Amino acid sequence: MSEIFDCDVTCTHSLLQLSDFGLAMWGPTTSSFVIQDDVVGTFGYLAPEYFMYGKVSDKIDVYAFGVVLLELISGREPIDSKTCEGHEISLVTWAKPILESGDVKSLLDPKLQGKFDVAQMHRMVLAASLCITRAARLRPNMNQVIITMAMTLSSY
Amino acid sequence: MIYYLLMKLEIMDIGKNKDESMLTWEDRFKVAVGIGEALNYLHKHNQTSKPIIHRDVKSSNILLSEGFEPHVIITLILLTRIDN
Repeated sequence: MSEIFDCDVTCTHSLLQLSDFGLAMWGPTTSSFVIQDDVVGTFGYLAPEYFMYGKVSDKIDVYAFGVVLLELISGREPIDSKTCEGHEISLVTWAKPILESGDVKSLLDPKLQGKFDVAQMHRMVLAASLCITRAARLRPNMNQVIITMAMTLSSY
Repeated sequence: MIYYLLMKLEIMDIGKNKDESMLTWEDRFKVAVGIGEALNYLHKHNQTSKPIIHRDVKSSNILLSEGFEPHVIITLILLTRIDN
């Protein structure tokens, strides 16, 4: 890492990191995805279509964002080696059946001790669940995810 | 330089710490929305130019400054090389 500078981005910020290797890239404008031979990124956050076929689109960031949401909700790590069978299990593999069962409270980080906003929790769980949709074309884009998280109670 | 201005806190490390330094639900929601807005900005990128895909979104790439404002680290050098 040679240099870091701060770039003001409306209400939030991105830190731009310059290094000898880079991960960020321009997205496609004429097609829905591009194929990349070099699959870079971090295990546990990789979207299935990127991991298996190298297909890159904005939807791979959406998938990884879903994993970050699950981390924030559950307090678990993206890859957990502390399962009872001693196998490593991804956060997505752990969370999917719980999301499908609708028992969302069992996703919650026990350290929260039940202190959470119910409406916000449901919106965040819904957003996470949409983000980790297996099929990229059915996965929402970031704008739709933000709208999901910002929905007011009256939108239900 | 900016590292000195920010507390480098990995989100999940906070969860593992003692209760008093753990992220509250309010902070977690704020962090989630902040990261979402940052990614949305990258994907839209001025409307006229191409979107930017981060490709390495993860909790350890999120720095939290005071007040738990999230900052997304983006590694950029290959942008010009790939753009052909």
